[in-house]
Amino acid sequence: MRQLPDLLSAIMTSPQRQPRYQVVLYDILSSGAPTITQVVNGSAVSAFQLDVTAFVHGGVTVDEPGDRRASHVTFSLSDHLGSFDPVSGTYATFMQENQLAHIKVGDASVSTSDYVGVFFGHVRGQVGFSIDRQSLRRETSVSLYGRRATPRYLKRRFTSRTYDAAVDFGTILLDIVRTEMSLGGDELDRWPALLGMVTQFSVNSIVDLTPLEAIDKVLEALGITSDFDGDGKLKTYIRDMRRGYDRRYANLNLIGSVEIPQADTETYNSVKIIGLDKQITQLDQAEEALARATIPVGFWRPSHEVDVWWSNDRSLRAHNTIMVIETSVNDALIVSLGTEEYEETSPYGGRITVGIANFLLTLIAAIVVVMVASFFVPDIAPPFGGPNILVGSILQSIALQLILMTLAIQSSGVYEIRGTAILPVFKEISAVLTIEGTPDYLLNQKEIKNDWINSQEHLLDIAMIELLFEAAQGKPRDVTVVDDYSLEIGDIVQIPLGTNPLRIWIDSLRRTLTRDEVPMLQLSGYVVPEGAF
Amino acid sequence: MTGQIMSPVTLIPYDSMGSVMPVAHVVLNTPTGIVLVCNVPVAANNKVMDHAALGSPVRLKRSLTGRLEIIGLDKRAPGTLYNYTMAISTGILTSGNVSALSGRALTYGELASGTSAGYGDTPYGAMGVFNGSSTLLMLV
Repeated sequence: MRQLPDLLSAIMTSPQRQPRYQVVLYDILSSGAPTITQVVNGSAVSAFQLDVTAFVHGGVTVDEPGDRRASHVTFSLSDHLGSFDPVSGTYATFMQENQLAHIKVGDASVSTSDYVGVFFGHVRGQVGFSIDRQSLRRETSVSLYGRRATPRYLKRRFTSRTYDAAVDFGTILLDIVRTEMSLGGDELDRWPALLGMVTQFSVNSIVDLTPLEAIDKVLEALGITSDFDGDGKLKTYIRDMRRGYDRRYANLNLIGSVEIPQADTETYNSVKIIGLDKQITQLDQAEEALARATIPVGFWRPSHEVDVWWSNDRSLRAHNTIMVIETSVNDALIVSLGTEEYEETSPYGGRITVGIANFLLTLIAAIVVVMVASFFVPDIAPPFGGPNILVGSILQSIALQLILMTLAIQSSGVYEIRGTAILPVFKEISAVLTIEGTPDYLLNQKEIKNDWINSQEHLLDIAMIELLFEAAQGKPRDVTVVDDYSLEIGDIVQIPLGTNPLRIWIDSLRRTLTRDEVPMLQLSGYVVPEGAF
Repeated sequence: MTGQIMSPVTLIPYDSMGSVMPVAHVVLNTPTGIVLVCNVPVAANNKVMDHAALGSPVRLKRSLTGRLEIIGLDKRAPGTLYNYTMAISTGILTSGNVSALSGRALTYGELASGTSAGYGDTPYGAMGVFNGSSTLLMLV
């Protein structure tokens, strides 16, 4: 619901109304012309604007269809000089495609500065022009569409930058509306800076969506929708019907008519919301060989450490890892004194340590002892002559041979690390909410996928918003009220009709602005289910 | 369409000539709930599926006549589905069943109690599809 200036707000319920409107065209295409932002800010140079209110013939029809569609306006301009001839008229520049129009409403009793906009948009296509020689009238018919129809917002796809975890959704949306929609200043007066909900994953980006698709997908996770107001400002409205009314009519004095229209639209009686679990699931794979290593050891390298990884890029994680010794270093030795150890150093890899150092030290120490001892064993001279018996020399040679053999010791082991690889996957979480008592054969389900919804509670909340919204669509109402300029799409009005007050969520608005007639507003909407309040 | 394989990729005879084809059981998140589709063929020459172990998320293609085919690995898998009903007139919510299929090896206890023949009937290392954490739906 829009905040009106005090004076204008007081007039909305007054029986004394002198409705006025103002149609101002802006030249935004010529050299030196103001930007759209300047027009919204009210700082556009007057030379580029033209008030054509006096030339409007037959009123202005402003149609706000809602449901993420652009507003539409049609009107005719008439004079006897052909000033609005789009080819040769004095104001032909303003009749060009994509020029801007701002339509405001107010009252004769308030200043025009207190008027509020009901439409802000661009000329669509070629304006019509006809000359009636009999009545000496030259009439230009104009069709305009609101800012939501801007091609850049509606059609041009973009890729956002990447956001970390714990970034407020509002920050992301502000980036999009500033960079991809080039909105700023007063255009964002009604746009929330923060939304109180943050990203759950460490990498978040939006790829290949149009700006409006992107912001509405994010906003969907909060039960709200984007829209442009009648002054060209980006805003949001709430789809959630679980709230109070915005405008209550105490009696029927300001109500023109209430109609229950015939409607054969099929409504949904069940909604399924699919989101992404904020906890990334660590999926255990079947046990497999994660790494293999062949490790040599020897006298000159008695201990060998080898780091092994579960994948070449060191990104695969695993747990419950074990080492399988396919060939042991001990197989090549006389006795098994080598050590073969494995340690899981991180989820991404481990370390295999193979050593025969202890064995070699023991061996060398023993040989040295034998060698030294052998020096004390002399060769023996035979008592009856002849060559010496080389007992000492033989012992020394044996000890020397043992040392040489020790120096030549080498071996190698072959090892395999087996374990359970962990596969991180996104797990979808889904909530199905169905209207109680719906027979299975009548189930009509609407499915919404939204990766910005990351928990069961959040899923359920959005499912309730959407189911109430869908259930309400089965009860459309058309109501005509004396125009209240503060009413907008998404507002809830309460009307004292029947035994219980009727609450209607406004889905679309339509008004025809004429001079000195009671301004009537046709609002179409849905009856808010009682379960919502 | 995304799914999650609930069995190792295995070869089975697929026609009367005895031709074999790699297949796997796949869990899908469909409008009617989480469902298990058995023996879904793997697209021809899809070597990447050789690495797909039990539980791997997969991408599937559905033909116009409703036949499924695994065309590769994926990053997201169907998870838990929560069912609720709501009385529109009162807004009162009622929780329904929770559905989540998963595949894993049977524990010793399950090997003993999972089949009517008792311990020894099912080999150690047998895989099963479970609803939730403990309800065995089938051996794979």
